Amino acid sequence: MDNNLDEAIRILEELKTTQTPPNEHIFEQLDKLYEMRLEIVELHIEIATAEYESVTAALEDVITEGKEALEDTGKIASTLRKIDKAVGLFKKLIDSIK
Amino acid sequence: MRMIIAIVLWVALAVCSCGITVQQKEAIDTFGEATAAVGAFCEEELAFIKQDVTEMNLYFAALDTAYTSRGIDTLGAFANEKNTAARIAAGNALRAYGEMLSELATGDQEEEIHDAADTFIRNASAALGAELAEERHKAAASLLRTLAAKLEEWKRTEAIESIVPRARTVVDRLAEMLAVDFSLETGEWRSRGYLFSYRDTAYRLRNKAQRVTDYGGAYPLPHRYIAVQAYHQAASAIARAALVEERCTPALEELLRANGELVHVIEDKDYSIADIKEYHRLVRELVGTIETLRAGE
Repeated sequence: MDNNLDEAIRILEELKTTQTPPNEHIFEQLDKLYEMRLEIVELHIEIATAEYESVTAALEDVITEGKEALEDTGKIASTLRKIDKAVGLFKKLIDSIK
Repeated sequence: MRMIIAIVLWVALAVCSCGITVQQKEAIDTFGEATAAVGAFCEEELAFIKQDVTEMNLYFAALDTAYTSRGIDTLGAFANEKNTAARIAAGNALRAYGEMLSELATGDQEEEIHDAADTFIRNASAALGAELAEERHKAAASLLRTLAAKLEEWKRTEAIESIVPRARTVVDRLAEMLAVDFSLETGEWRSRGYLFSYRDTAYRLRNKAQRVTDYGGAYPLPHRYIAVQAYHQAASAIARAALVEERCTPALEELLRANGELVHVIEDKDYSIADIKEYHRLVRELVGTIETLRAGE
């Protein structure tokens, strides 16, 4: 998940700069990704779990869709929806270790 | 009478410095001075970061009406008292160790040496916590006993020869711990530390502020005023984090190398002290940069 989250953040930061006027939804979703990264550093997460794998896969989807959105703004909305999915799975992962 | 005093002083000086060459003394003092400086830098910078994280999170909560008091309490968890205190203790331990070595090499204040040794052991234990739990009591007590015995006989050379190799692992571990905390490298989560989360806090605030500053006249002026201040604070933190890492990482890496070299220098009078001098140069560079940065605040 480490690199996927970093890459997802990088893409969203880039996507953010392509929108004039700014797209508030991108700001919101980017904030969720930063929040995830701040949380995950503090947790001792077991990486060999199904929950962890599902977050990693969901972030992979964000990256794939996000890269396409950089070329085609019509994909922005679906990218942002995929972030919601990744964030939801991350919350489940957190619940599973608490 | 004057002649007698002069002879007594000369003999005392000779006894103090017997067995240690000028080069060895220089190496120990140089290493001690640099380690005290890098330790002090880490202590001060971590305290600054903690304060800056608090301020950035106040802006963050002010800009986001969704945050209730419960939400505000959860912001900046990585910089909580416990986490920060352990890291500051690591810096404090290094500072005390450096001061102890310098004092042993060139000073004449027995009390200061004892105080520094005590501070070093107390803070190293606080910083490394469980890691030291088993060996802590035995090793720390033994180190202090050795130091006390050697100082009682005023055998500083023997004290140095005995302490430096035994403290090496602890000093290495403290430096490694701080190196993680002052790194911005991306990698596994467990290898990301304090500075990384500090910068993420700043990125997050910048993002929150941009949402207002870049949105034309959509937000009322007081809200925009807070956003502009928040943006400035976040941008300063991002730049500071980059500068701190650029200077601190090589200094801490060199500390690890020089710590190993110091053991060789003590064992071998003719051992090169190039690494220790390089370490000292990097620490001077780090301290100079940060002093300039702090002067501009």
